[in-house]
Amino acid sequence: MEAFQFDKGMPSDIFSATAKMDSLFDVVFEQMVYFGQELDRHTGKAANQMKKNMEEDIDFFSKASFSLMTFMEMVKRFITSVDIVDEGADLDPPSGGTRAEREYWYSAAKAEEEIKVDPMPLDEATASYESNLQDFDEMLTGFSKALDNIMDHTDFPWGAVNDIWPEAKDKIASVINEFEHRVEKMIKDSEDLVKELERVDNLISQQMGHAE
Amino acid sequence: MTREPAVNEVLILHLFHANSVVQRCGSSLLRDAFQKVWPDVDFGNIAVSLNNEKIIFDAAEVNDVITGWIKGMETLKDKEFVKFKEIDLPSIEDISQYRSIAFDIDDVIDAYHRLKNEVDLVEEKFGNKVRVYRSPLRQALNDIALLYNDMKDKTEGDFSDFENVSVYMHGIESDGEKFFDSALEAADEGDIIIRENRDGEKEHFIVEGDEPKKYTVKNLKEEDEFKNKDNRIHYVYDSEDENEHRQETSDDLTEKLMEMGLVNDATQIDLFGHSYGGRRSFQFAMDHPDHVQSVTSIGAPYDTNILGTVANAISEAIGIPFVSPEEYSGYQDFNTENRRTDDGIIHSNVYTDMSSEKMADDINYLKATSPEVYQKLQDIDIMAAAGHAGLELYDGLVSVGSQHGEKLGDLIDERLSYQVGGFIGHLSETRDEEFVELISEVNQT
Amino acid sequence: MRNNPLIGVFILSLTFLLVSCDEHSKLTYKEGFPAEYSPALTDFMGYHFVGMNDNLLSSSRDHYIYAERNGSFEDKKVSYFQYTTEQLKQYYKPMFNSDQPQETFDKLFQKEDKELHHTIETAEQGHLPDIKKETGNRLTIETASSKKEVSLASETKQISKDDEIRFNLVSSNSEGFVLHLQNSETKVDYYLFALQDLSDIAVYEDSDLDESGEAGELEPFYPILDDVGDNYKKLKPGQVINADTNQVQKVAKTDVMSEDFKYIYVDGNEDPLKDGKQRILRVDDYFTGNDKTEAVFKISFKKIAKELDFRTSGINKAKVKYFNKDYIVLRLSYDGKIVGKAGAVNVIADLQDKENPTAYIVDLGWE
Repeated sequence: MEAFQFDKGMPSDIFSATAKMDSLFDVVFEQMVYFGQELDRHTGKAANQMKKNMEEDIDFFSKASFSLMTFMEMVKRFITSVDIVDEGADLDPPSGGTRAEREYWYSAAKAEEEIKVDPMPLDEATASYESNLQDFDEMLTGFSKALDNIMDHTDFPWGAVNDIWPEAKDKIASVINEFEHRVEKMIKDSEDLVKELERVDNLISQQMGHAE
Repeated sequence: MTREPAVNEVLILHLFHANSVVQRCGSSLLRDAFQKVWPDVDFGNIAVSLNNEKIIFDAAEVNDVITGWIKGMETLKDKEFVKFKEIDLPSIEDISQYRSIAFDIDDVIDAYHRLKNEVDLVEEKFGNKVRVYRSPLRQALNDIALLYNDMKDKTEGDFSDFENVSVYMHGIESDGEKFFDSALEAADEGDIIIRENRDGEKEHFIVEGDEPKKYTVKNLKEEDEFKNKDNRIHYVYDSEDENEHRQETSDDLTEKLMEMGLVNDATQIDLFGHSYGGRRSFQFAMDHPDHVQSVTSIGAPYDTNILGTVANAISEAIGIPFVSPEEYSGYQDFNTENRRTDDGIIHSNVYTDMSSEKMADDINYLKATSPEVYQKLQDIDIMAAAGHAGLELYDGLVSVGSQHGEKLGDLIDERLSYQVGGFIGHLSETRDEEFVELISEVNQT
Repeated sequence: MRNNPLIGVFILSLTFLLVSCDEHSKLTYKEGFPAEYSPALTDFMGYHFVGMNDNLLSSSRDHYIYAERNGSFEDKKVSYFQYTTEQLKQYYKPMFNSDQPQETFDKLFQKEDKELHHTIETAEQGHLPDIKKETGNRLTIETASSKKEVSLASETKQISKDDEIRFNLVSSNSEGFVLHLQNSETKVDYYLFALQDLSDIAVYEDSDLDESGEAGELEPFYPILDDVGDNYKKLKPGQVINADTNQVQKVAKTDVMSEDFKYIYVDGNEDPLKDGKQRILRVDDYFTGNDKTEAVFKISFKKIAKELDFRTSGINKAKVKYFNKDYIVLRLSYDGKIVGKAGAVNVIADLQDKENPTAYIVDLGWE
């Protein structure tokens, strides 16, 4: 084992950042997936572009959340395990779960399953979308700070990790930047998206009303 | 303080250093180790409070400091000896004093050696508890790197525009030499073979007739076969440690393929594995199902295996000459049954894996916790070939049922059987003519 | 038959001769890379570090002349370089006494600038042709005595102007030269033969070469082709042509021809090689069908395994990697006792000293 170092306060920073991320991610991501499904009912150039953007964003959100959260979570568990050992306890470290399991947790497939089980009304979703995105944006700032802290103050005790760590830091910073950029764009575009979703929903309601 | 004054003079500095080291490190465990041994040094106390902000643990650095102390003491002993020798007619007091100093020095040196052992034990304790996170951390960083490439819409690496890659994974106690010969036989004219040996050195070949032609990377890039990017890459890989666990191999392979630019949306990977290499290939497919087109194995012990169990158990006591179950590669599985301890280090390898886990358990867990990934595995073409002697029961080491992955059900798309020669057929499976033909067929699709 | 003391002497001499032959072929095994320079070792090193890629045109005691390999159809000309024997010896000197011969062997191969590529301009060496490829697969050729433009598409219907043709000079002397052409896409090979004064140039597709050769069409070009025996000329990989009878001879699938086309290793293409006696024949003797051997040596896979302390259930690979009449490099790989691999090694059989042939057992990592 090689040398390692970290900030003692890091686990609580990470815990706070990841807890927020988890709760907000669920809400925002489910809405995104839900809207993605709704947009499937739409046609036209604007709607198609929105659909395409939404699919790309869903893909990015899923991968970014999965990889960044896994990273943060494993750093937290690593540090917590060192603390436990340092205090003289002999507990087995908690399992990280398998990679596939964690990947599924942040996947669109899981969100779709949840939507099936607990479908959300469109008006509720559209009403809260922009504010949820704003919260997510704020959360990302905190998340980014926690990541910066890890990157500035942590060395891992394994060559296999340290070999890729310097390059990884730049990539983490890029991914977080991209995450923030996408959320900001989604906030800007959210009004148009909501209008489009409501327009077609109203249209469908009217048509159903006529049919009756 | 009961030491000789000459010794105490040096110990003042050592005590100061010791307290600095403990304070800087910030670890209670390290402090306890120092406090445990320091009474034997018999000079002062380790009484410093730990730094509150960080843990900075570097066992090698701490031990270097202690080694410096030991050298200091040895120098002092030499100095005192010279002083003593300079006395023309030493009195009984002179002799007694020299002996007392020498005794103190030896006693302190002994204590310092014990201290070093304690520091090593602290390192071992930390290491054994956190080793499980090494692999998930590597995977997370690799996933971030893959996402980064996606974002930039660009994959860097010498071979980034090649779309067809075959990866060949050998089994336990072995390397890729046999697969190198089989890959060469199965390859098409103009294909590129990359042979990476255990030290990480790579050789590059272009298939020309019966013998591959070897190139430096620079020369390879000047060849049309490289420039056209149409040909297949055959990557014949030696695991970094001969008997490393399949997860370790999957993590390493991910990094190496990424470095070469071969993990991207366009490239499809065909995996070939012999023996435990089949499990290694399967692991990679589970980790990266989007990038894998097929998995083809022969002789793979998909079930638990008697060799694994015996080697894992017996060698701890008496050792077996032909296998190395104690081999370490830095990987520790979360499953505590998939572990062993060698020289105080808790780790996992091929033997712990083969004795404790059947692949079916992993697959069933996958099916329950990640149906999407399971579905992707189902979409991959998975062929399990079994080598056997006449009665079609086993190949000398692995049963046909295990090689066929019968417990993996319909995840395996095709099950094939080949009669293989030799007293232990398992040894000749990689070079079996029919298997080589199968490699060729898979590479054509 | 009456007892004849001379018969006794004769039988004794015969026995001695048989024993002596066996003694000559008995190798002394030594672990490690050869400790000293020798001509055959130098040739082998040159082959491995340079000759496997670039095209050796001539070698003498003092120096080696090469045409640089053109790996792409985009390559536009033939370039030349040379190095002296001394320079080569200096280059591979690190092999002696290296603690890590495999690593050193690989490093010396992988080194991009080997400092052995000393450029030669064609003017310096009279018989080296100046050849450039222009668009439309036209070659501009200039020799000491002539200059000509050759359209490959005109020389042979099988090459069109748009084909991606890469070209390599594989032979050159004062009489003329031979180019190997290959269509990069289809991998079809062609050979261009040309006399020094360019009065006679012919292009043959590989598959037509045998027939054309046996029809005598290559006779005007025989002076260009390297002599590889009393009657034989080098033609193309694995094949020679009998200059007297025009018969094209191919080495059998089970046998291997040396890089210089002069020798055949009988059963050398078997993998694994048979344990025991190994035979090398001159090309003439081989194709004539007489059993006269140029070199014979005995190899014992078991003994080598024992020397290296391999716990093995047997050999799984024994392959010839390089050979000429008195220097053979093999690759041996052994199975583990019950599983995996016991180990592998290269063997350098040095027959230069016929009294003391030596087998150097060293893993160069050459699979």
